[in-house]
Amino acid sequence: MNRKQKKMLIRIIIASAALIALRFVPVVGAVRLCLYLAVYIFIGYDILYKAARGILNGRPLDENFLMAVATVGAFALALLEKSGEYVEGIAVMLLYQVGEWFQSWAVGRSRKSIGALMDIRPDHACIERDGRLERVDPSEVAAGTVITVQPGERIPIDGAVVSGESAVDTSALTGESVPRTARPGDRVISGCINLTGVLRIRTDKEYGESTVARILELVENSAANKSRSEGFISRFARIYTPAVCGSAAALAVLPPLFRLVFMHADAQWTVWIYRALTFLVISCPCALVISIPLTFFAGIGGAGREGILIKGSNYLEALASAGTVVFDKTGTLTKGVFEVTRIDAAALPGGELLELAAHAECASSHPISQSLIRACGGNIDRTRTDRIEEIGGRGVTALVDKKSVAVGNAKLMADRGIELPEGLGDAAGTVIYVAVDGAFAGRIVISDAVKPGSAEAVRELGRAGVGRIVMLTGDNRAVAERVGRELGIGEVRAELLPAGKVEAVERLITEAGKGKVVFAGDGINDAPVLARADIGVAMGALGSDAAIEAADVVLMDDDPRKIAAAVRLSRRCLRIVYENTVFTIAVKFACLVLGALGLAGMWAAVFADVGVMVIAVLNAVRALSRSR
Amino acid sequence: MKKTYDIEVDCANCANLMEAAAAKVPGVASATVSFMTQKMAVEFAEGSDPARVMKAVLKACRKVEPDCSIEL
Repeated sequence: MNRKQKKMLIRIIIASAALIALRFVPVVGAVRLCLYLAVYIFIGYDILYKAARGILNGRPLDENFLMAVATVGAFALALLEKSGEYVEGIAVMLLYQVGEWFQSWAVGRSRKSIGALMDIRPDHACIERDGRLERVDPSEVAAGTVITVQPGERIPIDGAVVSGESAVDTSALTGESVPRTARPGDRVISGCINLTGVLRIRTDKEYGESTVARILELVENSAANKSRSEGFISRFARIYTPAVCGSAAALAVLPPLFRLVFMHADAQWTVWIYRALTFLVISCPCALVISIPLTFFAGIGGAGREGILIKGSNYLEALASAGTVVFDKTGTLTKGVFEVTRIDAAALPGGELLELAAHAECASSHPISQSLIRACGGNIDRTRTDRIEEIGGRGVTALVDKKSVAVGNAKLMADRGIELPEGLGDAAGTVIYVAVDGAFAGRIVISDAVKPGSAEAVRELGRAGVGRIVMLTGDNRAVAERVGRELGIGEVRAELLPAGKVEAVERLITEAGKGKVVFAGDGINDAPVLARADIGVAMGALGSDAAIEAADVVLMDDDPRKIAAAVRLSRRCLRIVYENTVFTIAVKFACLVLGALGLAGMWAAVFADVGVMVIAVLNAVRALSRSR
Repeated sequence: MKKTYDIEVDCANCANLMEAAAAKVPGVASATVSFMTQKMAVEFAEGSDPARVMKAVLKACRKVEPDCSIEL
């Protein structure tokens, strides 16, 4: 509870006590009125003040005004009827304040618990100077500095371990509870907690560029991307309040006039004014206005806890209507760790072929290049390579030891006019052809293993109601179809260049109609596709800045099952939004009708306002809990 | 240029009103108020002075919700 809330709580308690006490004080007439009026002003002065300010500022129709008119009206009626029953006006004001207090408390609570989820901001970095550890602000640490992280501390900046070995808890970022081991040479990311040993880390970025700073920025900006539902509610509230005030005025004036003019009966002014006031109390739109953003906020918070970062409630909303999920193959459904499984050398010894290929690819970060380099034992002498040229979707050409080497797929060979010999046979994997000085020199077969969770991810998406699952890949058809069969994906588009992937996704978007198209990729070569799809999901994006930038949803680890989890979570969130919208509007309208007919008094009216809001808020907070 | 400010506002509807009010201030290209994170993101129009614009934004917001504050 903050100071404001405490103050309000004390006011509420005192006013309730005074109201009960007044029941037993036998005073009448002006004294009675004054006593009640004092309590009324004590509990409602801020509302009255705000209502007055609203009128002066030319914005008379806010909820403060509604409450002020309703309660002052109730007082006036009691005076007019000389009943001395002033309790009603005070009670309505009191209950309204209770409701406001509860709302503020509940929202504050969920804001805090969501904030705690995202509490990954490091407060300091430790630098060793003259044998002593000095604490500095992370943003003052230059890239390339060696920082020391003690057990129990949060790693403040991305970097590589220089010395020390420790278990690192990544759960705040990935939702993965098993700690990772960090040894010298390993990259560690900021925001993780160092658990067991002292680590000395050479930073490779500044704080502002580090994972933790990027994530915090992303989370803080997510609220600016509002969903259609939120926009609908704001527009609704803007029309609704004036409409209700107009109806209330009509209710106060028209029926009595009708009775006077056409029925020649008693006008019953007080009855109809009372009903109009009830009408006003019921009408407060706050339950609706609060619960929808709260639901989205809680949904995004709950997703964050599972390592799913959603960049705004508009994307959460879009995810819920996902009809097509498109997977990139490499690094998304498969491990993306290629291993050389076979070398068919034609002209020169196999080892030499591999060495030439690895050197040609030495500057590329493509998984295939990395595996060639790894297969070579990592012994790469970059000075041997010159004039490297990467040809997207085809391969690489370079000068290695003054020999012109082309490494890539069959398309590259065709482009270069290099004839492939017949009868090489099929290979289970990705085939890399190598040409030296314009002649075919051999081929290297690389295969990639399917991730353990991929098949389950596809099944779960089907269960979650995603009708169409497609796999796109730049890889050859044979490999793509084998992986597709293994995972149960019927639709496979193979041998696509990066531009072809964008085209394929565009076609899927037109075919999908109203359903949204989700594209999930590892973000390395997919930035344009991530941006083009209705929802781009970047996986295992820790450390990949381009992917975090381009994607709408970022999965902190590379488990494809998280996509199904995200879809489920967003559906649940949207269901809560619909529940709240329908529930609040239905109860409000029911109460409005009952109030107009005189079947619901002030008490029912206060329930319709405050009670409904409390229920809606409690329902909204449900979105924060873990999905199962 | 886009800047984010911490704000304090008590009710969700008021936050919506603030958003509408801020967006109408000259020099503001667009404004979003998030009630949940208590933040206002303002995109300034080309060539406007944020400090001066924000003063006007605060004034406009005070008009719709006297109880609000913006940390400038």
